Amino acid sequence: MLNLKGDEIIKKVVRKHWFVLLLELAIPIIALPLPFLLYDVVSGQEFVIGAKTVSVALPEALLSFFGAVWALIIWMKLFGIWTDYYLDTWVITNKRIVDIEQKGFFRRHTGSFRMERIQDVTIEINGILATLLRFGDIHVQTAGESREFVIKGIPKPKRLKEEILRQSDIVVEQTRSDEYIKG
Amino acid sequence: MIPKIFENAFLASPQMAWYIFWTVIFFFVVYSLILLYHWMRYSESGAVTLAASLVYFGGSIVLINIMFFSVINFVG
Repeated sequence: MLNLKGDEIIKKVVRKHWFVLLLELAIPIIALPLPFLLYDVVSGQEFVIGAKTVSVALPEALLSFFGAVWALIIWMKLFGIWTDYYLDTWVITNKRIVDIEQKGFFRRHTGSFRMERIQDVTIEINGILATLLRFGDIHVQTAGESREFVIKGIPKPKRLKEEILRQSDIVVEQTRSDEYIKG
Repeated sequence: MIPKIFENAFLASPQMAWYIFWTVIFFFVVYSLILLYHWMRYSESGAVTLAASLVYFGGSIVLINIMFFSVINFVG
């Protein structure tokens, strides 16, 4: 999955909080029973259209066929959403942070920034649910291009911030130590 | 009116159900291949990939079986 360099080791793989996934899954899950409910409401009813009276009734076999087709479509959609969630990760190594973002099936963005370039790490927790479930956003400011990396909806952002700063301090110390030895 | 026309189309040509069935299967196969590719290529855990595959294909097989036997029952 990731090409690690030299003595680089993975310290942590971070994904979004399960609640973020649940929110994304909610719409297809809610949509699943809708056609069945709609049919339940209109079946057996008689509607007058022009001079004719018609009733809504489908053979049971056809009903179960279309029901299964709809359920299969929703099932596929659910796994598409889960795949997108699962492949969005932040990989924290002892040397860098790799930001992997899967945008749909055919777009994948990978960016990385070195630990020694980290200047500031801030967290943001908004709302009652985020506070109770302990998830939020992390913003990492890096040196050079003044670029900010953001990952939203991650669990325990405060702990992750501490981990990032700890790793960053270790790398900075190591760099200074190497420069001292060389100098 | 609209549901009756819809039903009549199937009664006049029961094979329509099979056309829809195989069209759905085609899209299912293509979509599943895409999902499998991403799981195998980018997942860092073989166990998660295996579990996801088992749940996904397990559920899909059940639904496809329902579709299949529904068409059999309808077409006769």
